[in-house]
Amino acid sequence: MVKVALLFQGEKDFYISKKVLKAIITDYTSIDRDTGKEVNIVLKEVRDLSLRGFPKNNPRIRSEGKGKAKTKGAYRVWVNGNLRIAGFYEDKKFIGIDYYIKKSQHNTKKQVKALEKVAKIKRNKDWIIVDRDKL
Amino acid sequence: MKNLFDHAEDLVESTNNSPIGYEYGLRFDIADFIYDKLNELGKRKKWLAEKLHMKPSQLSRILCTNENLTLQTVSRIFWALGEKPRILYEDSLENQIISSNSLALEGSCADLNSFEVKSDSASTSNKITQMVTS
Repeated sequence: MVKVALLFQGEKDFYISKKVLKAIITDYTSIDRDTGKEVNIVLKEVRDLSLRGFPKNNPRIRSEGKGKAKTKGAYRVWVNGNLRIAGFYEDKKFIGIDYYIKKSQHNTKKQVKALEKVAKIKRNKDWIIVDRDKL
Repeated sequence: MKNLFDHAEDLVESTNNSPIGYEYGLRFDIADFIYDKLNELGKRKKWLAEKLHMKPSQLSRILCTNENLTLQTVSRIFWALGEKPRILYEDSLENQIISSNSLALEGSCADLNSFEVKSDSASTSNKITQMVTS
């Protein structure tokens, strides 16, 4: 059972797993040279997409492996260069389960597996919303 | 020690109040503007790309907010969509909303539509400038 917690409220609320949030904070936080403070553009991008409801007509959001039953329902969100967040829609929520780094045009086997895993979690309802401090 | 979620909220706050945050806010605003106008005009992205003599992939990058646009490109986009861009900053925008509201209260025929659109924008929290249509 994958645990997710609410990160941002918006047109569609964004729920995230600890694995993804930890990766975003660890790998994409930098010091802004003007303000001298820590900034994280990935978090801002995800928040802005959440405010806009993760619109499916936005090229950043794509259903991967169209027509393939194993990845049906899984979407990837393109954030900041090569980071992709794999997740799915559920009512008024977008659930970010996993992530991968895209290095070439085609998905590698590992990346396809990650998307299949996300689709399977959606199909089997193998996820649960928990409080932030219980994640 | 702060948990991950509190840290994430702090990071969003500091990013929103930094130049890079302003920049990405503007990128999102321009992409939103293009989507809204295309919807309003009933046109497709391909139509806009052709009008701008641009490859569809380049327009896609703009819509992905993945492109650092020049003022020339921004101007061409607004022109192609039949709007004239102006730059207002958040405080001036708020002042104009207030003065327009006062005029409306006084029975003036001030047109508030443009300000309503601006204030509805999801990224009005950007403290720097905002591309708006005049």
